[in-house]
Amino acid sequence: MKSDDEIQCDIENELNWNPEIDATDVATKVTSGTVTLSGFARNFYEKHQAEVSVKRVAGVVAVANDLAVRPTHPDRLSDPELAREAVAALKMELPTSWQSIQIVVHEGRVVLEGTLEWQFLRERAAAAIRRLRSVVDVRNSIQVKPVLAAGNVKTDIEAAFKRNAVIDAGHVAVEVRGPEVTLRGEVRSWAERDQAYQTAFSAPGVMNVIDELTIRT
Amino acid sequence: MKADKDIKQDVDAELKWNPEIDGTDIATKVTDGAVTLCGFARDYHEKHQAELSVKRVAGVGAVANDLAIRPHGPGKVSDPQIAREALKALKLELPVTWEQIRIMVREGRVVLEGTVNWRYVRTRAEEAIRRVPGIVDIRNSIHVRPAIIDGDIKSGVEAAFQRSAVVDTDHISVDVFGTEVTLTGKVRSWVERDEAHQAAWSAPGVTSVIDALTVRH
Repeated sequence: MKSDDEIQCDIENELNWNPEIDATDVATKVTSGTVTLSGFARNFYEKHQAEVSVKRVAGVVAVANDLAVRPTHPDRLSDPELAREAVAALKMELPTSWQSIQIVVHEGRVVLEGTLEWQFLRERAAAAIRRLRSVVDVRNSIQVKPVLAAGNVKTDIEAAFKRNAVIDAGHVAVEVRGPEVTLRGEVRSWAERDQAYQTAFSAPGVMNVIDELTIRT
Repeated sequence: MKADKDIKQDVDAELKWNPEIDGTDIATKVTDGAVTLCGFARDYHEKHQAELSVKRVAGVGAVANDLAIRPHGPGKVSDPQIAREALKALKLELPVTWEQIRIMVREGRVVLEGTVNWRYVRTRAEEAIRRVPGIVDIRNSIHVRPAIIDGDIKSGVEAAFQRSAVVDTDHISVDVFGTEVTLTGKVRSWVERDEAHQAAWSAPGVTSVIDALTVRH
C-alpha cells in the first residue's frame, strides 16, 4: 500500500502538472490517505480544479478542501456585475430550465436556489457558475424534485451498474427508501465513485443519493 | 468476451436511461464490439450525449457516431445568430484566451481555428459551444503550440500514469517523437482512455497525442 509520503509527493506532482492551476500557494497534508488542502487559490474554479486533481491520484481515500480563495485579478467584478454574468451563464447552460433557479450574490459568493427535475441539471448549473472568474465560493442549494414517477428504482440502478464499464457491480449495494437512494460498498477510485453517484441519480423518481461508498486502496 | 447482442441490449438500455436523450429516432448496430449510432438527434448536444452514453457501457470497443441532426424547434437558426451565441459562450468560458480562437459558421456547421498554448483551452472551447442552438456539427481545428518546452516528455507522462488511480501502467506504453506522444496498449474503459489522454496532454511541450489504444474488457 502507498505510504502517506508517497501520496503527498504524487499529489504535489499532479498539482504542478495541471496547467489550469497555479499551485504556488497550495499546501497538502496526507494522513492515512486523507488529504487536506490548505493555503490559497486565485478563484473558486482553481480551488475546485485542485480538488479534482487530488481525486485522480491513487491512494487518496478522502479530501478536505480548505483552500481559501484570494482573488488576485485587479478589476474584480462587483456583485451586480457578477450576478448578471451568472444569469447569462445559466441561460446558456440550461436554456429551458434557468428560470427555475434563483441566484444570490454577496461579496463574490454565489448561492443557487430553486428546484430542478434532475440531478444532472443541478450539476450543470453549479458547473456553469464555477467557471466564472470572479467567483469566490459556490453553494448549490438547488433541490431535485423529480417529475417522472419511479419505476423499480433499485432494479433499474443495479442493472445500470452491471452495464457500466467502470463500476464493479459486485462490490456496490443499492438501498432505496422512497425517493432516496443509499449506496454502500467499495470502489477502486473516485472516477468509479462519481460514475456510481451519477448513475444512481439518473433513475426516474430519485430526489437524493446518499453516498456511503468507501475507496479501497 | 461479451456477445454483440448483449452489448446492443445494454447500449439501448443505457440510451433509454439517459434523461438528456430522447432516443426515439436513434438506432444502434453492434459488430464485434464496435457500435454504430444512426438516425437522428434533436441537436448537437444530444448527439454528443448519445456517444458518451455508449462509451459508458462495458464491452464497447469503438463508436461510430453517424447521427444526423434534425431540429425540433420552431424555425432554423441563422448562421450569424449561431456565430454570435458561440462567441458569447466562448468569452464566458475562456475570458483570457478567447481572442486566440476564430469561429466560422456555415449552414450550422462550426469550425474552430487558431493557435493556443495549452490543450485544455482547445478542449474547453469546443465544450463551450456544444450547447449553442442550431449547431449541426463542430470541427475543432485549433492548433496547440506550447510556450514551455519540457526536456523529458516521456518520463513526465509515465510518472503521471503511475500516480493515477485509474490508469493501469502495465498495459500502456508511451513513445515520444519530438513533441508528439503516441500511446499504445490496452485500457479497460473509455474513462481510463480519457485519463491517459489527459495525462499525456498535460506534459509541457506536447503538440499532439496519437491514440493507438484499444478498449478491451
